[in-house]
Amino acid sequence: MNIHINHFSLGARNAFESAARLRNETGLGFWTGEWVRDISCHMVPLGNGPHGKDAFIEIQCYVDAHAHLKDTRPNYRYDVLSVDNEYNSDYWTGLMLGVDSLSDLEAIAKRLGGDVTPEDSRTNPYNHFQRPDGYVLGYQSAPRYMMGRPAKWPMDMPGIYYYPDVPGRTSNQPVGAAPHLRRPAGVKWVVFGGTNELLSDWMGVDAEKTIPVRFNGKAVGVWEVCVAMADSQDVIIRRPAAASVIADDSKYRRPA
Amino acid sequence: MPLHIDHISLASPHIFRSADTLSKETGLGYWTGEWLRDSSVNIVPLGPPGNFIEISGFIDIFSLRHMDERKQWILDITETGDHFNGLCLGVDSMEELEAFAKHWKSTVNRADNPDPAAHFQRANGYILPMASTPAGKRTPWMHGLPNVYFYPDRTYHSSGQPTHPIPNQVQPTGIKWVEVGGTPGELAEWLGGMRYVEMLPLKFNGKSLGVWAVCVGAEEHDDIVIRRPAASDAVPISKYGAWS
Repeated sequence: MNIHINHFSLGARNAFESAARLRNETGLGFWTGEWVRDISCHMVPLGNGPHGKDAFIEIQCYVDAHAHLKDTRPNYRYDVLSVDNEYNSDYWTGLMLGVDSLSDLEAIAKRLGGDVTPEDSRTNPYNHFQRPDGYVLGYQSAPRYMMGRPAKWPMDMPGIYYYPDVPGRTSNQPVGAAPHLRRPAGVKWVVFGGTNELLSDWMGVDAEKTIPVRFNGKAVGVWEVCVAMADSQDVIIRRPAAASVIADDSKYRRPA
Repeated sequence: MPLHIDHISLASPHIFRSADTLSKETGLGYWTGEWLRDSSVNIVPLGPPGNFIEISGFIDIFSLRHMDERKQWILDITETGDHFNGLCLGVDSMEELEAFAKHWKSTVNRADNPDPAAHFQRANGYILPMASTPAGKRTPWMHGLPNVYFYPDRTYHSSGQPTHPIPNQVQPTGIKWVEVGGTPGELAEWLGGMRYVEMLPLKFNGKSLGVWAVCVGAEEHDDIVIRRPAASDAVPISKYGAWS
């Protein structure tokens, strides 16, 4: 089974501002217009993945104020982004790994005691990423825990994704033209919280030998992403991991 | 062009859902990525001579932690869905814009304000130079009344930017008419003369003030009529008293 880095999620209060700031900081371009449920995304392809499966960053923000105001449930991401930091409250909110087949995804879901999300992008597009040209991204992910996440796993362990449509992949869409863009050439390494033992237990393989990951022993989640550049020096994108500002995540867990 | 319609604002609870719905309803394309402070606009070009609908809504919900009258108004008029919330007129010179400012005993929001946060910014980094009047803490939109804009450089006017391609896309050929509430007399009183009203392709329906429908011509296609209630249908203009 080939497990690779599929994408990163970067939570922002205002993804429009965050994406422009990231571009000014790194030269990485983005494209706009994709959305899912109450979230809008700015997409940042990172280049040079295996077989056209480049990694990317999805910079996300909420765009449905009414949905937020009506929602009385504890909201992990909202609470994270409410905490000020030096990056206008950007936080890494996810590492998403990728596999190359539905059967691989099902095997991982089974091993982690969860399910695979249904492929209902044609019948329930609102639950999927949609683009202005009508394209609906038909991916599946795991593990989905309908009865609550097992207590042994912290929040923000990586989700596993299968994107069957490689040409339609988020990373294969053109970024918008802008001054001083640089050309990414792939993810060189990621700094993740926790330990190799924890992530390896989750992935079912030795994490360090499977993906380019380093560990800092802090809260679980992404802390740094180093991107190679085809035309200049590597860039390192540092933002705090979401879990670093949530001391107790118990109220966000669905009851088992 | 004398006084003309520049654009129409459509307030939305979710600008991507609204743009998707409008594009499927009409075949009109839109572009994305423009933003100003806590809000973003998805732009629907309407064809020559250069008009557009801006589908506007909050994209920074954390800004709602510090509520003010404008934000509350936007929330209230989008509670039940899309509402047209602004008729935006245009003139071709600062002199004309300043004349309107003088008429309203107001000032101009200047296009050369050096603070980028005061302007619309696009995904490509472009900052839109746009002047408008009247200025003040409360927009005339809350009273169902239009304001006026002047663009010192129309090269990158919002109406002329390429849209995302959409299925069954139609090519708009310009605004044919806009249906507004109230009467010609009420609008003439606001603008300072019936001659201004006569310059505009408006139909008056006598309902509460504001925009109620926009009719757009299209190549090899019937005219497209976009109907949404005016903001004043959701929040009566009487809530805000006389404009000041």
